[in-house]
Amino acid sequence: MTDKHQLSPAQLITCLNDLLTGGGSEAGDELPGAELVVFDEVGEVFRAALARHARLDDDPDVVWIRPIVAAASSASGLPAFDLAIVRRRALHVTNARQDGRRVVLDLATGQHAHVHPARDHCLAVLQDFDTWMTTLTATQRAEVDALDHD
Amino acid sequence: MGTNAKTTHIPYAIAPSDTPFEAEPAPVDDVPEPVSVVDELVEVEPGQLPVTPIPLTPDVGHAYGEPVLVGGADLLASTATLVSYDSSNGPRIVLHARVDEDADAKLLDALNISPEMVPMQVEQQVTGRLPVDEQHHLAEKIITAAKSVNHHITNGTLDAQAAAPATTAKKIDAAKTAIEGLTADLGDSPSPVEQAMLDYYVGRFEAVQHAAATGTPIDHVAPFLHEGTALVTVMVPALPPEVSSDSAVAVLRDATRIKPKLDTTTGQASWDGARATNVLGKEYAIDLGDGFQAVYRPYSVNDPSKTEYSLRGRLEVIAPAGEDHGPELVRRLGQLNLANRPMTRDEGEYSYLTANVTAQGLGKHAEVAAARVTGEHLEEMVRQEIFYERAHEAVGMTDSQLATFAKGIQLEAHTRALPAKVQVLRDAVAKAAGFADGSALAGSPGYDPAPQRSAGWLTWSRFDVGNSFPKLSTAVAGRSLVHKTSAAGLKAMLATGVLASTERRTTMGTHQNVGMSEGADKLSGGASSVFLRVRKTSSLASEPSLVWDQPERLLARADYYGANADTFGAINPVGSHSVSKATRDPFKIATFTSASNEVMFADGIDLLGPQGPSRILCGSKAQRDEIRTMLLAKGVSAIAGKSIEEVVTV
Repeated sequence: MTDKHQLSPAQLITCLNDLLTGGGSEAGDELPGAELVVFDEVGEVFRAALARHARLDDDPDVVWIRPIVAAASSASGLPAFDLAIVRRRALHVTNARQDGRRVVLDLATGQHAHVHPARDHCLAVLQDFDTWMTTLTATQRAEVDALDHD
Repeated sequence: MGTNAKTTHIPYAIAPSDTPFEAEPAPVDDVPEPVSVVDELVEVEPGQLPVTPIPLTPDVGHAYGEPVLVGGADLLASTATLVSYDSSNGPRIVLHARVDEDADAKLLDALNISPEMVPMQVEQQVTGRLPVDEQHHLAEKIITAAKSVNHHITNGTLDAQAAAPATTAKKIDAAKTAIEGLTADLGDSPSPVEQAMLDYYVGRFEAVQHAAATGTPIDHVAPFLHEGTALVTVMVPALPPEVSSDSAVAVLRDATRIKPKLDTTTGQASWDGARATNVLGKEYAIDLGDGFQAVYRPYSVNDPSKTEYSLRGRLEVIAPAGEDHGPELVRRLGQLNLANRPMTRDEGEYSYLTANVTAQGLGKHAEVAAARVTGEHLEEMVRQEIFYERAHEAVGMTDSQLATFAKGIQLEAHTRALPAKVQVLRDAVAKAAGFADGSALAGSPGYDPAPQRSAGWLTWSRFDVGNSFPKLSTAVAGRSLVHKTSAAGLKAMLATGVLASTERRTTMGTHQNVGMSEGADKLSGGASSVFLRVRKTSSLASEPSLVWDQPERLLARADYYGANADTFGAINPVGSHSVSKATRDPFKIATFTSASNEVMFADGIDLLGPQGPSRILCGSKAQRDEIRTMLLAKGVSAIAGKSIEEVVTV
C-alpha cells in the first residue's frame, strides 16, 4: 500500500472510523453510518450495515469490523441483537484506496469490497443496533466495540 | 461429563413407527393392528441393537439435555434431545428435535385440526415493561434522545460549548413530552410500581439532559422492567367431537418459544411452562392426550425469508411434570407419524459412513455415488418382496388403514435392507479411501462407527484422522485452536459447560434474541456453528479464552470446515465459487496463518467432556479462582484428563 492514491493501514482505519461514525454525512433524523458491500466474480455477494467501530489487527493487513447481518429481534419491545450472529468479521486487505466518500478494498480472498455511507435497509438496521447498544452498560459497549471476542 | 440420569435400555425390536415400545399398544378403533414382526425375531442381531439408550429422566436442570438417536430419517441428523427442566412440580421433560422437510407432510397428516381455540387462564411469572410505558413509548423516546446525544459527542458535533444539533434537541423534547404525558395519565395516585417506573425514567431523562449540556456521553438507558405474577389467558385447542384417544388434536397459532430460566452461576435450567411470544412464524399447538403436548412449526406454512432462524421444522414434545417420561416422549413421536424407535447400530454405521463421505470429500468418487444408488435399489427390492408377501392383508382396509399398512412395510424394508446397504457403502468408501475392501477399512484402528456424546448432541469421528493421528499431531504442533471471549462470556459458558451455537441455544430455549431469517443466516453461518481460530501457541496472551493445544482432538470430528481468510457471502464449502478456499482437510487447516482464519464446528463443543479445552485462560487471577471454585462446586475436578488447576490458568 505505497501508492499516493492508496491508503496505509493507519489511514485506512481513520477513513473507516470516519465513515462508521457518520462523519460528514447527513441522514435526516437518522444517525448516519456505513455499510459494507462485497463482490466476487459473479457480482455482489454480501451487503450489511457496519457497527460503528473498526480495529486494526497486530497483522496490519487485517481489519476487524462487525457487519450487522441480521435484523433485530425484540426484547421488551426494543431491538435486540445476538453477538454470536452479529459477530466480528475480518477484512484481509491487499489494497485499499479512497474514492470520494467510499473506501475501496481488494481482499486476500480475491473478493473486492466497498465501504460507503449506509442507505435504506442498512441505515434502518443501524438505527436499531444503536438503540440496542444504548441499552448496554458502558462496559458492555466497550466489549462490543473492542472487536476482540469471537 | 458425569451423569446421574436414570436410563432404561429399551429392548429393540423391529417395529413400525407407530408401534409403542410397550408390549401392549393402545387399542384404537378403526385402525388395523400395526404390521408386527416382533414375534418373528427371537434373537436380535447385533446390528439391530440401539446406538443410544433412552434415559428415563435426563439429568434435571441440564440445559443441553441428553441426545438420543432415533431410527429412520424423519429427524435432522436422526437426533432428538431430551431435556429435563427443573420445576416446582418436579422435572418437566421435553423432547427437542428438528423434523426433516421430507417428513413435514406426513406429520401434518397425523394432525386432527381443531376448528377453534378455547381460552384457559393460568398464573404465570411475567417480566416486562409496564403497559403504560409501552403505550407512551417512553423507553424508546429516551433511548432515541440518548443515542443521538452520544452519536454527536462521538463525531465531534456536540460538546459543552455547542448547543445540541436541531435533530437531537427535537428528540430530547419528544422524550420530555412523553414523560409529561405519562405523568398526566398516572394522575395523583399512581401505584408504587408505576411511581418507581416514573422516577426511574425521569432520572434517565435528566442524565440525557446532563450529557447534552456537558458533552459527556451517557452510560446507558435500559427499559424499566417489572417482575410479578399475572393471570394470563392462554388459548388451547378445543377438542373436536368424536375424536379418538390417539388423535393429535392441533390448532395453528402464532409461533412461540419455550422460555426456561437459566441460572448463569450454576447453569441450571428451570421451566414453569412459560412461552415467549415474540417469535416470527406460525406453529401447531398439539394435544397428544394424557397430559402430553407437542408444538410443531411446519415448513409448509412458514416462509423461510420471514421466519426466525431454524424455526421451520422445529418440534417439541412435552411431558406432564414428573419423572420417567423419557421413553414415552420418544414413543409419542409415533402419534405424529414419525419414526419412534431408537436408531440401530446398522443405521448408526450408515450415518457414520455418510459423515465421513462429506468430511473427506469422497462423494465425488464414482464407486461411492454408485453405492448410494445400489442401496436405494436394494431397499426397493426388499420393499417389493414384503409387499407381495403381505398384499392379501390389505384387502378391505380403509384409506387410513392402508396408510398405516404401507408405512409399516416401508419401515421394515428400510430395516431389512440396511445391513446390505451398509456393506455396499462401506466397500465403496474403503476403495475411495485407498483400502482393499470394507473389511480392511473396518479393521483399521481409526474406524469407529459409534457416535461420541458432546453435550446435548452427538458427533461422528473421521477414520482418516484416526488412522493418521500421530502425523496430524506433528502437523499441528505449536499451534492451538482458540475461542476468544469476554470475562462474562467465559463464566457463562463454563456455568453450562458448553460452547454452543446460537441454533442449539435457541432450540433449548436458553437464548431468546434470535431475530433473523434463514435467508440471512445462509450469508453469515453464525447461527449453527461455533467459531475457533488457529493461532501459534506461543502468541497467546492472558485474555479470556478457551484453548485447545492439541487441535487434533477436535479435528478428529467429522463436522467442521475452515478457511484461511474470512470469506464474505455463503461460507459453506458446498456452493458458491467464492468459497473455494474453504476446506475440511485437517492438514490444510494445520497450516493456517492468517489472523482472520476461521474453523467452524457444527453445534458446539462440550467444554467439560473429552473434547474439553487444554487451557481455560482467564483475564485475572481473581477470575481464575472464581472459575475454579465454580467448577469444583459442580463436581468438575478435571477436564479431558487434566486437573482443574492445570486447565484454568491466567
